[in-house]
This record gives sequence, structure tokens and C-alpha cells, in this order.
Amino acid sequence: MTADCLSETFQALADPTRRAILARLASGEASVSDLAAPFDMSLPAISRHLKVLERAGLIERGRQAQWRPCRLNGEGLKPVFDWVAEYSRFWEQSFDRLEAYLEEIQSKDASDEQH
Amino acid sequence: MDSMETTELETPRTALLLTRDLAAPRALVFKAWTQPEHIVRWWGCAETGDVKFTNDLRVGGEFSAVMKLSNGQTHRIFGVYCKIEAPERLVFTWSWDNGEGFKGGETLVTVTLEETATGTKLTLRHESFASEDDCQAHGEGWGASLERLGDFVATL
Repeated sequence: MTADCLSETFQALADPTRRAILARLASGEASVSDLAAPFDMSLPAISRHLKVLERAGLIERGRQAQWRPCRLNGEGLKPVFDWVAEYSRFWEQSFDRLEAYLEEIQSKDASDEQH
Repeated sequence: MDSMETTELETPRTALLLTRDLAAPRALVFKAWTQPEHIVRWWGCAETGDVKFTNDLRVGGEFSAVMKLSNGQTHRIFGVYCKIEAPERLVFTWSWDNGEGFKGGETLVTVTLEETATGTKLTLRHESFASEDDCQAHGEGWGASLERLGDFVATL
């Protein structure tokens, strides 16, 4: 399974405000004040959330001094989506075995009843 | 054996959703999910060998599955039960470590069992992170707020 690098990503995602910010950025880049508008939160508080997202590699910020637009970083999101493939394999194979096991114990019960 | 199966990835793919129709009564499927002597018979994938499973089946109780992998590593999957509603629902957190210091972030699993004409429909939802809040009120807000992210990643 994947290494520790996912922890920072997940920690960044484990907050409803930050998830809402990412959802907003999915429809295009935005300034800090654009992003702050839907929240009852100060600009410094929003900036702190943006720093967490930036550190986790989930967003990038423009370099213009006054208007530093934020945008999603697809590369940063990729590990989150790769995670799914790994667990999918684990569970599918477990379900195959569960299916066979249930069949086995039921046919055993049935033959026990006949004797 | 005549069983149907479907597998799908939800968008956004931050939650994994799997379903399987099982030809067995729901009470038996629930037992297979909750009693260690049954669990060890099916739990794991091709790389996992014998499983040692301990289970404290109560809300707040822990489970632990220790597996020797084919590459020689010992891998442990562990978590805490958040909800136990026999025989239809189990919610538990899911973490892992490989015995060498690598640890995975905590994720959340919801297992739902529904009775069907032919047996039991198993639905498993595995979400890409968990927190104490999720354990108390899991599922709120996470899927909805990220709906568009899946579309975004699909465009890359």
C-alpha cells in the first residue's frame, strides 16, 4: 500500500472548509477574497486553510503581488484517486473468497442436516 | 452458482463503492463479517497469507488483522467500530501499518447488508479518510462538497 506521503494530503482534506475551497476551485481559479466570500471567516483564517492546501500540494498560487489567484493542482490530487484502485483490489478479492466461503459453510450445514 | 456482481467507482473517486449479491441469508453474512473464526477464512487479497484477527465487537471496540505478506512484510490493518447494527450495518475506521514505520491515514468503511429475493446484497463504502467527527456523524458533507473534483481530475 501507499506510503506516508498520503497522510498530509488526507489531513488537508479532512476539513469541511478546505474541501469546500477545493470544490470551488474545481470550477476555476479564484482570489482569496472570492474564496472567503461564502464563509463566515476572516481573510487570515482562509489564508491559513490555503497554506495547508498549498503545503499538501493540492493547490498552487499565482505569483502576482496583489492578486494571487489559487488554482487546483491535479498532480497533488492524483494520489487520492490512486488510493481507490488499491482498496478496490483488496475488497474485490476478499468478496470472491467470502462468496466461496458462504457457499461452503451452507452446503456443509445442508449435508449435516441430512445425516 | 448463480450470483450477480457489480463494481463501480463513485465520482468523485474519493469514496470507493462496491456491491456484491451473495447467495446466503443476511444473518449468516453478518456473522461472517463479525466473528473472527469466519473472518479469517475470507479476509485478504492474493498477497496476504494467513490472517490473525482479533475483534472487540462493540462501539468503540477495536479490531486488528495481522497478515504476513508474500513479500515478507508483516502488515496490520486495524480500526475501531463506530456503529454496529446487527444484522444490517457495520461502520468502522481503517488504518494500517507495515511494521516498518509506514502508516496509512485513517479511512472509514461502511458495510450495509440488505435482504434480497436470492440472499443478501452487500454494499461496501470505503471513504478516503476518517476523523473522530466522521465516526460520530459519518458521511456528512464529504461527498457533496467534492462532487466537482472528480470531474476536474477526469479532465487532466
